Amino acid sequence: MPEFNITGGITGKILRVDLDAGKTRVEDNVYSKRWIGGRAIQSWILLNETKPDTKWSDPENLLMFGAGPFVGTLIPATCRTTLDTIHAFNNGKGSSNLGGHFSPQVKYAGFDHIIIKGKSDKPVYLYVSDGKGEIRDASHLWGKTTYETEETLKKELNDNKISVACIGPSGENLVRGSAVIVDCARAAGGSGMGCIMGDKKLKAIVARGHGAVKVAKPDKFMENVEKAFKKIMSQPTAKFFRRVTLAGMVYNDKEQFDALFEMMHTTRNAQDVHWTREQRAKMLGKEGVPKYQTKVQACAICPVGCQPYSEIKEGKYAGTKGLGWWINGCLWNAKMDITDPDGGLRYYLRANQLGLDGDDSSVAMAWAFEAYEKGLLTKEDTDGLELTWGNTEAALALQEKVARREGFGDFLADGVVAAAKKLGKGSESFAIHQKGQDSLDPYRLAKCWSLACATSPIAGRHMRGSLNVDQAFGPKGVKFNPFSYEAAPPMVFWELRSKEIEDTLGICVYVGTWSGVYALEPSDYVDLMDVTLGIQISEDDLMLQGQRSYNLEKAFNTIHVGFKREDDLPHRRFFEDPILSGPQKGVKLDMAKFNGMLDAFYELHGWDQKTGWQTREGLEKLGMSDVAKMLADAGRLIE
Amino acid sequence: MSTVSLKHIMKNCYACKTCELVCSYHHTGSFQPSKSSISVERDHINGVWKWTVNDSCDLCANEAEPLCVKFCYYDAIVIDGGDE
Repeated sequence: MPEFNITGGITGKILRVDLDAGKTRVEDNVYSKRWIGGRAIQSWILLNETKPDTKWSDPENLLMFGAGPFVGTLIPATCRTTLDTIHAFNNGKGSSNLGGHFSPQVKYAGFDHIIIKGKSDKPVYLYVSDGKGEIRDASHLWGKTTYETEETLKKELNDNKISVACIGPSGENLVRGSAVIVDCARAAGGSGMGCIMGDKKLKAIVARGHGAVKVAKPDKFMENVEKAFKKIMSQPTAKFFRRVTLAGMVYNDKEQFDALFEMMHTTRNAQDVHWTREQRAKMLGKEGVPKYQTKVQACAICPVGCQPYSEIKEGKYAGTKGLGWWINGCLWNAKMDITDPDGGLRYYLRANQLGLDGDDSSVAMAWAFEAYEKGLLTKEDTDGLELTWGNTEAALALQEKVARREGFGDFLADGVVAAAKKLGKGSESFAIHQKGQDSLDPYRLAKCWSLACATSPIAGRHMRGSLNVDQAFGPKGVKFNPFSYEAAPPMVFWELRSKEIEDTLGICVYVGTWSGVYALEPSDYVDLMDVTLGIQISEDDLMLQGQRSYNLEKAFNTIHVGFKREDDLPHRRFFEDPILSGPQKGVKLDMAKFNGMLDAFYELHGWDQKTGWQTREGLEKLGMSDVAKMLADAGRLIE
Repeated sequence: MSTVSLKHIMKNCYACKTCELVCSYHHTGSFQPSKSSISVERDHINGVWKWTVNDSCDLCANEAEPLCVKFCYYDAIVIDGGDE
């Protein structure tokens, strides 16, 4: 493996926090030489510093926040924080990623990573500033929503420029699908991040930095930033997104957006995927803008502002306001067939306030709605709530109960697999999950989406190579067709490596190769790494670096959980229950063809087709013989 | 007397803080918002933000145009006024 001598971008320091001892210390970032930054470093640390039998709720579990080497500079859209830990749903690799304005503050405070171990006896928050970390009492914050927490901290610290990453009541109550929320809106939701933070009794991290981030070649750096900005803004979608945001796009009621909606959504707990254009139109205001959107804000240094601020001024939900009627809100509403824009917006913003991950919690709730439809649950079980499709009031009431583990909410609070196990009566057959984590995603139509979700090392969640609409980038010679089983493996294999690079560096996928405006690509990252980090790397070698990062997570899962090929299959519903309505009526997945995709995908990775495990040969080609040894020691390496 | 100054156009602004950051580059050669002439304070709950510029702003004297104007992604900063 190459060794990188990074001379810019990074701070070179890591803040270690021991909540058992109540102490912090600073160490040198020795990991960047091999792993560059971001998630790659944190995956390596988690693999090396936890034992195979360490569970998510053990004090030995680490919760890590990483700000990649592009973060804090002027490179567009370098706002991302990567969070890594042991997965709260399956004890495998947990990872999530968020935007906003938190990550640059961590860099200005002097750190590339914050690594938290142990558990506090009492609620605390961490104040990170100017080369130091301080553990402070948070008794007065416990029980507060994320909005109240940020507001209180700004007031008592008398500083409006702090950035806060915190949990709400949901994380405090160890609701498995809880999120860490930044800027009252940006969520790290997957893997139970908020639950793990709550388990450590860590209410918030406040970052406030006065220091500098330096780049390796300042003059050339500014030229490259201009070039990157111009490339982004020359894309035809850039200004469209700024105006309508992604939520406006997926609800677009024009015919050409029909297929997009159906490739992105499931409705009625994945029984169907279809909404009529009239249903979609209800969610929109004037000129295709999401209803109630009053303005749009951007994450740090981002030219593609995509975060709506919305406010309802009249009616039953008057006074509901906040940042982000984000695209995921559309996905959650569709799950329960909520076509009421007022209630849908309230549901979304309330999830952020409660610190509830909407992806995970909506799946468990939609499962309960279907169980109610089938007569497996009655009003006596649900605290009197009528869980009928589209019942906004019931969804809002249930959401509160889940976040607070009250009554029937407690029944759902450990996720859909646990709920179905408790209920039984065949309800497991429609408890939609991937590797144990509630799964929001559609699997039947876009094969790149389903292959990537099914094989994702973080248990679904469509952020590891999932693709649906036409792609600007990808492997040479592969014609993209979202419905093709044959085209999917090379596309997914290309995209997941590109995504690893973006999460290593800290740049947002909406200016990258995955989605949004499709502007920056690995060749741009190579140039930007030269002027920022002072390292020269070829595009092919950078893609290999992305592949190494992905393989770290794969190895973690194999060692810690032993996931195999069968865990890379989607839920049985997508193979057996066809789409019920709309132009795609009757479509379902073909098992033989899906297995063909898995064979091709494993071959591209150099993994064993029978077990799905990594091979010594494949890992040695990547220069990861030490990881091969770890797998061999666990008896889970294919020689 | 010169009355040239920066003018912030709130309706165009997305509060991305690029102006704050690039200003610090002008002053320090690195990225350090605490050394910026510009400050952006975001209020996430109410969806508003405060944009201010202090007396240390020299309109990027050594540049063809102020960097905050040049790098504003949203056309939210312009040069206002001129010599009288």
